[in-house]
Amino acid sequence: MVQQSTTQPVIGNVLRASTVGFVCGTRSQEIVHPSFGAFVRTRHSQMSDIDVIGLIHGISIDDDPLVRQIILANNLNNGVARDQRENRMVPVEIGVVNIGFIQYDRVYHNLPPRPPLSLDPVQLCDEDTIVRFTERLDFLRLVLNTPEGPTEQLLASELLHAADARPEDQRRAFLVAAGRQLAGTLSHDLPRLQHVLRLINPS
Amino acid sequence: MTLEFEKVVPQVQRMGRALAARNITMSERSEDAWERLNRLGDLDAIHARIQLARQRDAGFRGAAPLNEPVNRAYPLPAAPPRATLIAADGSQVYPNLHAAAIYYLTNVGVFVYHHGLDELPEQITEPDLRYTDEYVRDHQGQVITNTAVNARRTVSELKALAREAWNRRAMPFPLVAVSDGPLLFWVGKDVPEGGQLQNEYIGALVHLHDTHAAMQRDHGHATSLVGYVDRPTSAFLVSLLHLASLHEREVRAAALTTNGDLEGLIDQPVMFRLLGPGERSALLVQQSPQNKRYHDKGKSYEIAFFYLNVSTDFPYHLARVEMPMWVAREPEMVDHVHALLYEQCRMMWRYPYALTRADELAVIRGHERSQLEELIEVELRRNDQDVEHSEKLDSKVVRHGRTRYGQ
Repeated sequence: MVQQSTTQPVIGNVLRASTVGFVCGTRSQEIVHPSFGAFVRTRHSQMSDIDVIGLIHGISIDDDPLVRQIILANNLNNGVARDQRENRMVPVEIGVVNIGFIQYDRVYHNLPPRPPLSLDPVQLCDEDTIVRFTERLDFLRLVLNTPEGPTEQLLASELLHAADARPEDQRRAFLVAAGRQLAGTLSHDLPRLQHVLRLINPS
Repeated sequence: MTLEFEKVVPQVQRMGRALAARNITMSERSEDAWERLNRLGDLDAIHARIQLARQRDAGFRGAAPLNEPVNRAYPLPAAPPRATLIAADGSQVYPNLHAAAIYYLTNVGVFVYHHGLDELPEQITEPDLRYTDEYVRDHQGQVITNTAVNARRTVSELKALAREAWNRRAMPFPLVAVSDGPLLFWVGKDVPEGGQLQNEYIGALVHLHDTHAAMQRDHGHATSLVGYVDRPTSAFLVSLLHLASLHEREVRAAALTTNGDLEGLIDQPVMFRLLGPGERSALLVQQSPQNKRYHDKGKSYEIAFFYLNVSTDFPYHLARVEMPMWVAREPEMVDHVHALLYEQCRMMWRYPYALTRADELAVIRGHERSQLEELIEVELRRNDQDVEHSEKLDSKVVRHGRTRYGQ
C-alpha cells in the first residue's frame, strides 16, 4: 500500500463522488497547488486499503451574488479582495476523473471498486506515486474515454505531469513510449492522435 | 388550494392604476415641497418656529436644523487616510410553540474593516441561545413576543459594537462604529424588563462615548457611532416644511397631526433634488419624546442625522445617517463619517460593505434553523426527554413536500 504522504498538500475534501470520478471542494485562497491534469489520490480513511488515483480535469469557482455586486461596483481594494478570499467561504470545486487505484501496493488501471466518501481528504500525488502509477500506460484508454472536458488536453497535461515526475534523462523516453502507445490506441482517429502528439512533443 | 391568478390579475391591474395616480399626486407635492425648501433659508426663523411649537405643546415630530442651513447640500469631504470601521448586525430564531422546545436564539455578527490598510478584515459572531423561563416567558407565563426578541437582539448588537470599539481604543486612527438601523431605541409594554433593556442600551452608548474620551486623551483620535438607515421613508424634513408654512396662529396640535398639503410625501424625493452623488444634507435633530429622553440622559446622547446620497449616478439612492450629539457637534467627525460611509457604499455600489458583511455573518439561514432544531431534538432525546412534534408543523412539512434525510 502506498503510504499516506504527509508532505503532499491536501487540496480539498470530497464533496460528491462516483466510481467514475469525484468533485472536491476547497476555499478560494487554497487553490495554489492543484493544476489541470495533475495526479491526485484519496483514501476513505486510515483503515482503508484503497488509494483512488485520479486526474484533475477542471477547476471552477462558484457564482456568488456578493462578489458579483463588488465587481459591478468597480471599486475593489486589497482589503475587500482579502476579505472575500480569506474570510468568506467562496467554494472552489475541483473535478477529478478516476483513472485507477492502488491496493496492497499493487497498481490497477481500472475504475476503483468503490468511490471515496464525502469529506475524504484529497492530496496531490508525490513523484514516487506518479512514477509507479505510470510505469504501465494502460490507463490512457480510461482518460481518452472520459466524458469530462477536452480529453486530448487532459491526456497531454497528465503525460507531461508524469514526465516531470521522472529524472530529466528519462522524460523524453517516457513521452516517446507514451506516444507509441497512443499511436496504437488512436490508430482509427489520426487527427486526434496528431493533436495529442503535438501537445506532448518533447523536442 | 393554490392562488387563483384569474381572480388576482384584475386586482393587480387596479393596484397599478391606483399607484400611478398616487405618484402623480406625490410628484406635485414634491414640487411644492422643493419650492418651500428653497425659501427656508433663515435658521433663526426656523428655530423660533420650532420653539413656538414646543411652547404650545403642539406635538411637532419633524426635524430641527442643528447649526447648518437646511436648503444647502454639503459636498463630499476627503476621507481620513486610515480608520477602523466596526459594523454590527443581528439575526434571530424566534420562539416557536410548535418546536421541540421553547427557546430563542440571537446571532450578532461584527465585521471590522481597516480603511486605508491592506489588513485582513476581522469577523466575529456571537450566537446566544436562551431557553429558561426567565428569558422565554413573561411575568404572566406567556411565551415572549418576537418584538421582545428583537429588542434584546438590538441591545446585544450595540453592546458588541461598544465592546469591540473599546478593545481597539489603542489603535491610532479614527474609529467609526456602524449600527444597522436607527439609533433611537425604545420598547413597548409587551417587552418584559423593557426598562432594563433601555438602560443597557444607553449603557452601551455611554461605553462608546467613554471609548471616544479615552482615544481623545491618549492619541487625539475620535470614536464615532452611526446608525445607518437604508432607503428611509421618514418625513422629518417635510414636517418641518409644513410647520414653517403655517401662519403663527395655526401652530397648534390640530394642524400638526398631519403634514397638511404635503401629507403622504416623504423626504426622499426632496433630497434627491437637493443632493448630488456623495453630498449630504444639513445636520438635523428629530423632535420626539424618545429623543428628548436621550437628551435628558446627557446632551452628548441626543440623536442627530443627515441624509446622504450614496449613489455615484442616476438613479439616486438615499440613506439616513444617525449619530449621537458627541459626533454631530464635531465637524471633523461628521466629515469622517460622511466620507467613510460613502467610500463603503462605493465598494458595494449603494450599501456599506462593512454592514453587508456583518449582515452576512449574522444571518441564520433556513437550513441552519432546521439543523439547530434537529440538534436540540437530539440533545433532548439524549437526556431522556420526550420530543413531541407539533401536528401543525409536521403537516406543514407534508403539505410543502419538504424532504428530510436521516430520519
